[in-house]
Amino acid sequence: MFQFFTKIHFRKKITLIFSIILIGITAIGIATFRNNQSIQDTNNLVQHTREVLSESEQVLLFTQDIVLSTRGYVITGDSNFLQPFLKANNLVGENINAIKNLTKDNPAQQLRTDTLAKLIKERIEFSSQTIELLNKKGFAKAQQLVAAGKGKHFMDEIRNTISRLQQEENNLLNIRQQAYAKSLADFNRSFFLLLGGILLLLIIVFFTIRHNTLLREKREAEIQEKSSYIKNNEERINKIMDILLKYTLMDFSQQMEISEKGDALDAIALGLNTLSEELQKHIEQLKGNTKQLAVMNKELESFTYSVSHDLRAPLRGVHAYTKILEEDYFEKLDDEGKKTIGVILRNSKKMGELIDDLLAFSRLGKKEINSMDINMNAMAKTVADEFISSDKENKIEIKIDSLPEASGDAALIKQVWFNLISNAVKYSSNNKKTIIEIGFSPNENKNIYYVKDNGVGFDMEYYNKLFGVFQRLHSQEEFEGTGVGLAIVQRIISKHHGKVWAEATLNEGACFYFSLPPISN
Amino acid sequence: MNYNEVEILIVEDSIDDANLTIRSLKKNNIANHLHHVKDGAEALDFIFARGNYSSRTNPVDLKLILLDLKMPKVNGIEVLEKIKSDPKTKAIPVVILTSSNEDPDIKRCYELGANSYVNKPVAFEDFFRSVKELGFYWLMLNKATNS
Repeated sequence: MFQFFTKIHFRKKITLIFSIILIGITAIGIATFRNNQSIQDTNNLVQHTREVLSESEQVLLFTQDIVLSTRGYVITGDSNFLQPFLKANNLVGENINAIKNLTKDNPAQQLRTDTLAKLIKERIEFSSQTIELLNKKGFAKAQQLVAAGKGKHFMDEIRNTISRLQQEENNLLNIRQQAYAKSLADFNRSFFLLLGGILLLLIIVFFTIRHNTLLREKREAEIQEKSSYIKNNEERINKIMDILLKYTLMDFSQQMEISEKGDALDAIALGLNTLSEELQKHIEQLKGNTKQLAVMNKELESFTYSVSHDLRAPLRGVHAYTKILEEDYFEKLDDEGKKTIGVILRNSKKMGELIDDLLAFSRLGKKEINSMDINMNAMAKTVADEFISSDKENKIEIKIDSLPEASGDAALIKQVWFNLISNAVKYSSNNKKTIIEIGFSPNENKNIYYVKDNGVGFDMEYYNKLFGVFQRLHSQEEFEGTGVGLAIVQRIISKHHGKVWAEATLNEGACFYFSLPPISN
Repeated sequence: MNYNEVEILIVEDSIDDANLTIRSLKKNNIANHLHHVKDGAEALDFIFARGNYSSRTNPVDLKLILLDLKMPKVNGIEVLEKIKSDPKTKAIPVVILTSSNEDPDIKRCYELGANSYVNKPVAFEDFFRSVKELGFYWLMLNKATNS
């Protein structure tokens, strides 16, 4: 229960408790009000009883007056003694009416009052009779009437009735007073209970608020501590920020000074210093490597240049003059001579091709790709048409599917198509009919194109040699070539961040795939 | 040799290559009045009729200059520059005939005003064809030079 209580939010707690206190106070108010009502009622009844008693006493007095005054008159014959009688006779009715009024709601009392009224009426009548008798017949007759005891009888009855009347009233009063006493006790109990509850709640409120303010003070102190730490170390923190900013600009040269405090900031500074030292070292190394690479590149460039010029010239001499020899001295040569010349020509031509291919391959390393949108269909068709137009025997059939556009360097991609289709044609040249399919394989991020042929294929066991420079899977006698075509294709495609791969079955054909980024939207 | 009658000038430092060129032109009957010089300095002397060629006092217009690029002393680019910057000579068609296929060379030649740039291939047949074609073109078909 307590666990539940502590989990409720502070403000909700306070609101809840004060609501209960409010209800409690209201309850006390209501109870007090009702208690007051009770007191009022009790007072009223006391008043009421007093009045009934008073009136009934008065009735008794009057009745006694009547009796005594009649007696006095009878004894003395002095009409002065009748004054009280007359007075009482007049007034007693009022008292009886008053009593009648007061006991309106009590039928038993009403009955008694009626009885009383009747008795008094009869007694008065008796007194009147007695007086009349005295006046008319003299004392002795009157005395007789009195001695008969009828008057006394009435008097006794009257006393009884009044007594009972008064008793009843007193009983009622007692009952009422007991009831009140009980309700007062209840009230007191409720009152003190509620009060006790309210006090308890106030105590709880007090401790809740106190607890809350203590917590708050503690937290504020913590925050204060932290912010004063930050304030005191603002300078150091700023220095660290400056250094980090320099890092984003790739400047790792600054070192942070370490204070003697040995706190978190010092740990950070130490870490940063180590980091920047390492990074500086790496950067110097990279700079060195880059310089080296630049130098090597320059050397390679001049090497390439040298190859393209200086190797070609003497080779041209060999080939061209051998050709002249063949042309001008053909008749003078025997078969062996002709064959020898053929060999020289073939080989020098081959060497020229090797030089060209090697140059082309090395040049790819330097070239930047100028990316643009390429209509692959048009390009593939252009390249394919070249082969078809030189296909005198109509052996070659090239089917081109609908190809999506790709992003790349037009010249280089054309080279790719050329090399792949040229291979497809070359390695299917032994077939009666060459069927080449050029198509497209859909893929999420890249466009995958393929060139499929029905030629000799290759052995998948030597797959890893397929794209190597000057690596071949067939001899020169089977199919001529320098073994650089696929290497060039791979270089071009990987410059475009794509991939090349192939599948083949010996004597059934091969399929070469390459991927290119699609055109940017 | 009467240098005044020379119509085609071949500027080439390699004797072998020069002979091939001459042979090709001859075979195609375009070898009218050829002359071969072995380096850029000699070429300029010839074109501007000085030095050894100061006897070229009354020359016919040169119809074609076949110019190699890589030569000692004065190289092809310098010769081209000189030819194309002199109003007397800049109209002469100059065809760069060289084994260099490096882009900067090609670009520079065209910038300087070379009329054509032809690669010297290793395979003789192609070379033969190239020479024949450009020979015909510049000598026979190119009306602009024939005033």
